[in-house]
This record gives sequence, structure tokens and C-alpha cells, in this order.
Amino acid sequence: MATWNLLGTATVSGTSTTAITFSSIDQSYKDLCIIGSLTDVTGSSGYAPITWLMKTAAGGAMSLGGGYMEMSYNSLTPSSTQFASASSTISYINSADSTSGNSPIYFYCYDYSSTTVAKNFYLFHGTTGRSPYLAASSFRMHKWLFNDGSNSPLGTIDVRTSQANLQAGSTLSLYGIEG
Amino acid sequence: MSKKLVIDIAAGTEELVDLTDEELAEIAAGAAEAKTQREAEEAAATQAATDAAAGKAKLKELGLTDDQIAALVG
Repeated sequence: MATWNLLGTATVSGTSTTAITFSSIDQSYKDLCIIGSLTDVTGSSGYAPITWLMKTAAGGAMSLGGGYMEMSYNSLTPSSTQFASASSTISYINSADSTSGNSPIYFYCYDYSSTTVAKNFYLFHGTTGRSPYLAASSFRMHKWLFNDGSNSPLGTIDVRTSQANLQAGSTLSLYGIEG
Repeated sequence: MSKKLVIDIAAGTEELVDLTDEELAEIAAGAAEAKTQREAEEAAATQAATDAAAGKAKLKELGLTDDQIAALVG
């Protein structure tokens, strides 16, 4: 049975934090998982984009290929998007407003430390406290493959909001999962 | 100044540091990319809804009931 080990937790305080970085990630586990909840400080549009960047231990950006499906925009029909190559992927979080909702985040990366096996990650995010019939993205499910022929281990994960800053109390916890 | 919260797993430390100019530029680029994606997805969703409504109207003109249309296309 897999054992989950808490490697670190980032909890935002104050109002000036734009990004969360997990660096120098321990390479002794097979998989990685991030669980948490993020909220943006502004409420202008009701939601804010969050950019996810994967980097090697040396800080080099890792290219991705993949896509996502989502339910949103008052539509019963899910939409999907694919990218042959991307430098990052975007998820959406709630902005702090009268809904007081937050945005659960689930990230799971398989074989992040391997130098021989291709790496994949799944990312699920959504919004709470908000009607799914509003324009804010209800939920999105990503699957991405690392476009990395050299199979470099994943060493750093950057999570950045590109609209404003993260609300105090936003938190992400990183777990290492033994194979 | 915008900052990033760096959790160094190996060192077990937590530090709030200023974002570099390069990171700020990447964030600005990310915002532009997100806006473009969002607008494209919203336009596609709007067009799909318009097409669906037009298609259902056409089926009704052909004599199908609302229940029959719903059974066919939801």
C-alpha cells in the first residue's frame, strides 16, 4: 500500500503573494500530489487564472503536451482543448467576493523522479460557493505529458496567479508517494 | 512588490521573496494567454449554444415534439 508523506505546506499570509513555489523537491518518492485550495484577492471577474509551471531541479522549464476538459458557461456540453506543446497550463480559481467560495485543487504527478519513465500529471480544479451556471469555470480536468526526451526529474513546481495576488489562507500541501 | 512563497523541500525552509523581472514578464504573458484562451472558449461556447438552438428549431419545424428533440439531442 502506498504511503503518503507530507513534504511541505505553503500557506499564504498577507496580501502580496502572487506565486507559490515548491523547490528542491525530494527525489526519493515515485509520485507527487498537491492538495489545497486557492482564492484570488480580487472579485472583478469572479475568477482568476492560475498558471502551473513544471521545472527541472536546475530550474529549466519543462515542456508539456496535453489538454483538458471542462464544464462551464451555463452549458450542458463539456468542452475540451488540446495542446501539442505548451510551456504551462492554466487553471482557474475563485476571486474573493460575496460567494465566499474557494477553489479546491488536486494535482497528481506520476513518476516525477524517474529518469526512464515518461511523466504525466493530472490536475483537477473547480470552484465552490458559486453556481455552476455562472461563467466562472465550474471545473476543469487536465491531463499532461512532459515533452522531455531526456526524462529529467521534476524538481520545482511554480503556481502563479496572473490577475492579482492570493488571498491569505490560500494553501497548498505537497505529498510524496512511495511506489 | 509582488512576492512568491518559496517552500524549499530539501532545506525545509519557507521564504517570501520578490518576484524577478523575468517572472513578472512570464506572469504578464500568462495573463494574456489566459485571456486569449478564455475568449476563444467563450466564443466557441456561445456559437455552440446558438447552433444548438437553431438545430432544435429546425427539428421542431420538421414536426418533432420537444420530448423527441430532447431524446435526440438532449
